[in-house]
Amino acid sequence: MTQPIYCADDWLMIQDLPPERVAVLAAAADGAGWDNIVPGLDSLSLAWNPSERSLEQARAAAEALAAHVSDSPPSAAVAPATLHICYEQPWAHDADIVAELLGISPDTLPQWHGAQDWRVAMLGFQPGFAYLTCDARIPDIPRLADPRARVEAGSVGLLGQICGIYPHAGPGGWPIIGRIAETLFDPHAASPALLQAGQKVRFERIDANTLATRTGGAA
Amino acid sequence: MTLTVLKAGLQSSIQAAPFRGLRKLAVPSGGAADGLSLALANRLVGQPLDTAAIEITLGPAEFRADRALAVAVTGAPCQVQINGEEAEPHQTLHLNAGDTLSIGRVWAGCRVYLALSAAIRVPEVLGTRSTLIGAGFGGLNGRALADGDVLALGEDGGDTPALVTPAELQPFFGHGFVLRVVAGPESDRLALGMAALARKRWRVSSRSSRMGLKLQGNAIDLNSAAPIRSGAVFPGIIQCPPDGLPYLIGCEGQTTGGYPRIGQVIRADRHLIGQLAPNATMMLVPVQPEQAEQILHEKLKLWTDWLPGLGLG
Repeated sequence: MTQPIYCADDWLMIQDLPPERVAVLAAAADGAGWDNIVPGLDSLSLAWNPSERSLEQARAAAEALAAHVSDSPPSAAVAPATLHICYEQPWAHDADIVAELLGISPDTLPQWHGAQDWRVAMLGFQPGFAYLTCDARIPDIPRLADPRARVEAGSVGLLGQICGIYPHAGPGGWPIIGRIAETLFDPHAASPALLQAGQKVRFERIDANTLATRTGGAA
Repeated sequence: MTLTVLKAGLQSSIQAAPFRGLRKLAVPSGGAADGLSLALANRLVGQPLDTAAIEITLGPAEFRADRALAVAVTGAPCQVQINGEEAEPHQTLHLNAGDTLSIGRVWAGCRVYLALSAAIRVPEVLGTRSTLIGAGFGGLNGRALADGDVLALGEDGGDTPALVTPAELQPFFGHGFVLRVVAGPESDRLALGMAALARKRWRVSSRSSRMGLKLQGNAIDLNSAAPIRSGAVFPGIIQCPPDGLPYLIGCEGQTTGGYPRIGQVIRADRHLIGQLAPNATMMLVPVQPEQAEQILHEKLKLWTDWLPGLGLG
């Protein structure tokens, strides 16, 4: 079966991909002269400079890529990340609602969340914002009816079947279950984003004091 | 050597080349909203085409140089004055120490570009000196310019030759725009198809910024407004949220989205998005990707003698 490919005039998108396939193809596309390689939840978009390759060449390259076969899991290339998360108040605003939707008690939410095999499906929304997915069947968790005016940097939310982490403080509508100590995005760092698509993520639980120490006590 | 921002106006910011290759990290492209006008301005002051310049939104704005330097103004048509005396856009202007350069309110279009013969000394972040106003980094401390800002400038080489943009290469901006589009990934959701899109007239709403522009008009009829699985969007993507009124992604727009993508403004016309001001009218004319590629090559050919290396993107 050939993979459906959408084609604009300087970018295209390989569609209907299983999540693990997105990461495999993104890794395979790296270094092949694309201007941008953008993983989506079930797609991979590739942008090119029309002064460097024609539409026809780009389409042919994408077709060849879509047929790419790889034996090695893509996450093998990237070391898994460990994120230190505090599930305590005041960082877990919506833990009760989320636990109820998951059908578990709020006390066991940290254990449930930490036990999943999370993987970065894509980055989007704002620089460094990571969308994590796992194999567990998660009920569709809705957006907050009334978005918060301010969500702290590092806040971890669950929306739909996605776990998202806010890199920066700002307004936000995701139900929040905790906060991590790590900085997800620093434009002045040699490697600006801590996480990248395809990477496995493990959450390690810390208490509120440890979080305060690690984030410099920033509230 | 410095340039003082006497009046920043609605929104002025330092803009240069876009952020390149970082969309997978959800870093928007940014850079000059109208890259062609930036290139034309830099050409007149003898700088590489994507050198950092000042992007002025709608005007008015005012600046003062503390030393002699050459400047040029391009983009949206407006009154240009030096110490209250009329000056011309699209030509090299020589300022003396202490001169005040005033940019009036634009008559049409949206953004004016002020290029300088001396480099604006702000650090390069992720490969460019452009400001991402939404994300808050790059340019001058990641923000738009404010009244009283003093921009440090590099040395001016002096003797910048006086040039004028050839008349036939000066873009014309009115109040109505025609943007050519290719079908988007979810254009099959358009109940009346792509061709029907061309019969609609849109007005740019006041909810417009470098990030995106909300359009007003008769709502688009979709077969399904259901969200899509989040995937890439690019500048020039036309999203159709459930209200049926399109949202046009701007140069600083987010990198992924969940609304149906019904169209994509072609690369050759994307610089025009930077000239869409609130109340401007526009129509979207569908073309095929192969035509879009051809249009881009023809457009680049038109400017290439005057602007060698112009890429539009």
